[in-house]
Amino acid sequence: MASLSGPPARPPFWNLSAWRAMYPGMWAWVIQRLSAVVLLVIFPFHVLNPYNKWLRIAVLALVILHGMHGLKVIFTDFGFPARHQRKLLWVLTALGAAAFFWLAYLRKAFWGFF
Amino acid sequence: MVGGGVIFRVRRGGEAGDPQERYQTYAITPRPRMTVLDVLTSIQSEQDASLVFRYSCRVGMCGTCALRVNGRPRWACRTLITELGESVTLEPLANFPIIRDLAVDMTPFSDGLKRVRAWAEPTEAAASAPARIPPSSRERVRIDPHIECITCGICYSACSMLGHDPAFLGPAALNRAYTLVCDSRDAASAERLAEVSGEQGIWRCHSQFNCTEACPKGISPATAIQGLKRQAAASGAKSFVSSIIGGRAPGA
Amino acid sequence: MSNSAFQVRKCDVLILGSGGAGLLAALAAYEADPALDILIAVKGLFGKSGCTRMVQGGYNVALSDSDSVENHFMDTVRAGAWLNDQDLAWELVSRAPGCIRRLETVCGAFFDRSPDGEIHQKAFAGQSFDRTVHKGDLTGIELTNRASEQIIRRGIPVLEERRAIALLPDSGAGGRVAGSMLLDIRSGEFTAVNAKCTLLATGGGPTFYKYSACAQELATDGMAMAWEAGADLCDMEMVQFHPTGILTGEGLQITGTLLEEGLRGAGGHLLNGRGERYMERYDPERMERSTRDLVARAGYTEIKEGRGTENGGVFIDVSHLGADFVRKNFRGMVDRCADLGFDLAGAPVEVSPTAHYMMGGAKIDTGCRTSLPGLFAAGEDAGGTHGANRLGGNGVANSTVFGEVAGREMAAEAGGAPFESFDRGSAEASVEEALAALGDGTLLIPSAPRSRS
Repeated sequence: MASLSGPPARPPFWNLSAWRAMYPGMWAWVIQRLSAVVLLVIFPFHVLNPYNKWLRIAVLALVILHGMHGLKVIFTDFGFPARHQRKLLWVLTALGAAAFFWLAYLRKAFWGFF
Repeated sequence: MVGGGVIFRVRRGGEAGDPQERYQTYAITPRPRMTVLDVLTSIQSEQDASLVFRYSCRVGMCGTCALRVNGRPRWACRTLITELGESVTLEPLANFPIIRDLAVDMTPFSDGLKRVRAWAEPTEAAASAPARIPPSSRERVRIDPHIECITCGICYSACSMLGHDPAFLGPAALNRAYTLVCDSRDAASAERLAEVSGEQGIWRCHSQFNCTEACPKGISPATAIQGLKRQAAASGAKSFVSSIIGGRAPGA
Repeated sequence: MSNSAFQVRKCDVLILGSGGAGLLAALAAYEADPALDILIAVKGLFGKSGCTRMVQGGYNVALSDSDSVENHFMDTVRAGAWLNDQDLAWELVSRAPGCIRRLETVCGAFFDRSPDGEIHQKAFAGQSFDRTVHKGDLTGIELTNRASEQIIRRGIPVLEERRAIALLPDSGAGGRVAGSMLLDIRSGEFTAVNAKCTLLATGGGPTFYKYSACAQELATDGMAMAWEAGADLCDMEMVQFHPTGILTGEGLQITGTLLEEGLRGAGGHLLNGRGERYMERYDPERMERSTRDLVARAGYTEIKEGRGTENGGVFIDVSHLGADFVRKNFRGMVDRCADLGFDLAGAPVEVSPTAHYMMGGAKIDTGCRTSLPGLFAAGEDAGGTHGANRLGGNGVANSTVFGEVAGREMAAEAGGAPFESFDRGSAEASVEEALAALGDGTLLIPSAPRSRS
């Protein structure tokens, strides 16, 4: 019988059903938070072993990813029109990818990557 | 299945009167300009009279028929099935208690509106005569893109923060609060701003823009939330500065 | 559930319906006496059910100095073929200006403005003056949202998804209506609401026609209950057909819903299947801006005489007004058509006359009293104001104006009056009748033998 139950209870944190099939803006946010967590884990290894090129590449990629999506949050918080947020997301992602390509590949000698 | 049909998987059960949660499938022969609502009414009248769903105006004004179509919240009445593919999943809106099948209990949504005092509290001037406000005025330019909300609950369902914590005020309530805070005719803007910048308000929004993407009316609650954030920050800064100048404790 | 079991609830004023009439009645009753126990019961969701929500065009009211209440009155009775109850028509036009002001000053609605900041009034068909107040082309959303917010602000209790199934006579010999029996659509339970005054504000609902424009849950509940309770009805033969209901396909839900009257008001053309502006033959002077009855009959005649479109309709064409103009002024209509694959701003769209409004209803006096003591009616449930044909834009004016009147009158009447208890036998009979209609209840069993899984 349909008795009204009031607001739903807060789901436990391991319940990931809030992250259903959704929109790019949400995935950008999720990726930004995840990149921070991964950075937190691998950065100590990077400090201990600064010349490991795989760690270097990973740190560079994650910093760019995290930073670009962070810029998006800052821009939109300071008035970037929300109806264009998806375009902003793609532009920043493209810029990030270009920066990664330039640093990791074109300037690979400087960074000693390969 | 019947040849040439579209399969609709409809989520049913899981509530007190019908505890077994399941997906039931129905085959529909598509017709030109058929909407999801047409599918539901045809299932109910031709295949399964026990299917529960809601609708009223059938033309996108009442905000009663919202549900999730292939995972995303939409209005049934103006979603053509041609764009949905051969297999379509219909589920009730997320973040609401289910009454039965596709009908949800809208109470959490209306509670959010109540918490932000989502009603006009006119100033003395506004209560005496219709205000003379040109459509080009700054306040109307801010308010107008946000005012035509049909309270359908789609943004509420799309919001992942609400999925985590139902205590969050949610996009629609904050959107309505924004239109009131911007309105020079309203006398309760300060109280409203205090409520929306509280623990469960604007600062819990993570700017994922799910609400903006989902809103069938093209409203951007996320923009409203950002507008409120700026106003809250400005008023916070103002009171901080005046507390230093006036020698009072911040927030006093 | 045991047979004819029901709960009992008491209130001073029971309002059936939460469209324009119900909402404004509750606000007016509260304003008159905040201590009153007011109860709203609505068949659908609060503030969303019914046709006020679906108002597109707007609200006729004489506000301008160059217009007058008398002009509005003359337009109203002329459109109604002089069959209107002129006292009611006068009540409507003379109270509308105050009512529209209160929608802004009390409810906080904001209707569209002219560039100078004054309330804008647009052209509607069949009127001598451009006097239709509006919010874009989806006026009903603003109106019902703002009014229902004020109900919530005042804490007036609302029962959602409760269908009124019968009016309850009092237990004495007074012939008074003492409330209504409600069916909880969610649970199937019954509640007899014992009220001092009961308002029928359930709306009309000519949903029994092939094409109809109104919300589909409407089924003339109020009029039916009034008739069964023995109230006088009037003008029941007067059903309005709106000339421009969109045609998307037979049997599809959206077919029959309106493309708003302002399209004709702004200069839109109606074309038959041969591309002729057929209104030339029916009303050469006013053309498409003629009254609804004439335009609808003209369209129907064209279709019946074989000059319609392939799908049995006619065309409305606004493309000559300029795509930008149409997009700006009729955004709601353009969006709606676009969702369905039509380009309203650029090409003709197929429409047909569609059943829209019932001019008839419970016979009322200027205080919204029906012929039964204790029973009031407002909005589409009441008849007489519009005569044979309602002007576009007078519908929402009618429901809000008479909603307010009914609210005030009920507050005055319910104030000091004692409760009359209802007749238990009639209450039980109404429950039994409702249950009997369900047969053996097999329809309610959730498992579905004919579905494929």
